[in-house]
Amino acid sequence: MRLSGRRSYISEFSETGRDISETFGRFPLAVNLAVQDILSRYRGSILGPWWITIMTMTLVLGIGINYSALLHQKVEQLLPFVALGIVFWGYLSVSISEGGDAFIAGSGMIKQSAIPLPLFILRCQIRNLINLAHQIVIVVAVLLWFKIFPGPGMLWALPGLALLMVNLGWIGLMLAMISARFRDMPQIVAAVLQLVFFLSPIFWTPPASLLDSPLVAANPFFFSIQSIREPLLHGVMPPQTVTILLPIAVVGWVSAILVYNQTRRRVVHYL
Amino acid sequence: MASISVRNLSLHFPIIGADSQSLKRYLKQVAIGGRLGDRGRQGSLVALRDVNVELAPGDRLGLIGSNGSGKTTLLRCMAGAYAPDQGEVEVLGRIASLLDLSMGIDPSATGLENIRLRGLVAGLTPKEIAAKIEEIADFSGLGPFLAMPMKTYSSGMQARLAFATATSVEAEILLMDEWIAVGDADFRQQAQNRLTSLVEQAHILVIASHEPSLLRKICNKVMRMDHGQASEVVDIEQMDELMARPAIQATM
Repeated sequence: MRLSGRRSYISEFSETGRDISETFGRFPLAVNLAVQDILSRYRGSILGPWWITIMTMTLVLGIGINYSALLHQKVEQLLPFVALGIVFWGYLSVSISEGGDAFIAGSGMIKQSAIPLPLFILRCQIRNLINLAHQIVIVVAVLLWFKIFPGPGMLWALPGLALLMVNLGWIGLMLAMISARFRDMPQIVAAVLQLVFFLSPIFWTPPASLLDSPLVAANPFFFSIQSIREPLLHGVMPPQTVTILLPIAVVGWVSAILVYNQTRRRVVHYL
Repeated sequence: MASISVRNLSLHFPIIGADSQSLKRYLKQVAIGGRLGDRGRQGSLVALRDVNVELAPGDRLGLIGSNGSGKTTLLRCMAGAYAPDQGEVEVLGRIASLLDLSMGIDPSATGLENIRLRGLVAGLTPKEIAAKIEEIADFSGLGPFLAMPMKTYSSGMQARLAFATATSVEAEILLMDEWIAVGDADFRQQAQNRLTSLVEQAHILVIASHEPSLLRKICNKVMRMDHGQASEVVDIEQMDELMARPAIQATM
């Protein structure tokens, strides 16, 4: 192990690269920490993480049935849309808010050992992916119940999910650094996410009059959901996945790496 | 071959009180453009200044110095937790860090789960842990309690498990912050034997302690720290002379 003072801007990049490769080198540790997080959160509970599934189910039924009456839409049209929207929104929003907490939660280990920082983001991502796996039951149940099977185009949901994971990775890293320094950040993020949830067409279908509004036409949160929901419901991938989400992933990762480069030495002192 | 090489190491801690950690205060500063007095400015504390240490196999280095002189910070730098601001830290060989026995311990998990978790955090592979787990469980003497959540343990039992796990990593380099003493009279003796054999097996030991008699017993070299600055590394025989020196003047 060799650690040195900042020599040059370029040498910092190689250290950043080393942090990231070490993170993946210690993948089993990240998985174990993630599993332990879930075990300890639900210790003593019979259903464990299935409670998230039940909570989501109640929300889906509540919103699906209520809104279909309010908006005069057919349940079989609205409910699958709402169900998938809420499942993947849950994954997205919890990943983002917990990502911001990743370094603070791992501060004990960060201050004592040489475990690379991005590992704590990976731990958070794996934890949320395990939680999502429990929620997939809802997706499968809804698709079966309403006999939705648009064909092999459904497989587009996989690259959609992969791209979402890539985006959640940089968002988590960025927010974890900012939140370690500024402790108001987690609350700000929570508030913003709540607003986004109501403003984006997650649990309401956008009426024709709103189709050109930026809330619908240029909303990366909406398209992050759509890139998984559309393939599953209609077997097609929305083009915005490539035109909006892909550039965001590239720009996001580049900026997250640049910020990480500047703050990786300081994060431990913020904790 | 194990070695520790610390060259011209300097480390500054930015002083971030709970106060300046709020975004509002930061934004206010930017918006107004002036200074909110010293409270608003971010100060920094020199934790280590130009520290040099070279250690080779066989070296047992004791760190002495008053509270806040930088002993633990230097140990954490060697453990890789802090990146230097200037200079270099190069550590070759597997490190066992006994700086914080409770690191990676989850109170709601069972004893066995904690052994696994702690082992992974310490850098063992799942295979290595599987090979050791019986020995650790055996040494801890906790028997059937290992299947119970750690929060049901008495503090002495928790210490036993933490100690048994933390000391199971065979390493070339051992970092310790004060000599560890845990458990009841019975366990204490076993723990002492285990720690002593761990120290003997390690190629390099660095220990921070306020006990000159302890350092005399286990170390062959000693270094004094004052205000983040370090003396040269001297033979343990010269410890009295080192202690008698006036404190290194803080050059801020």
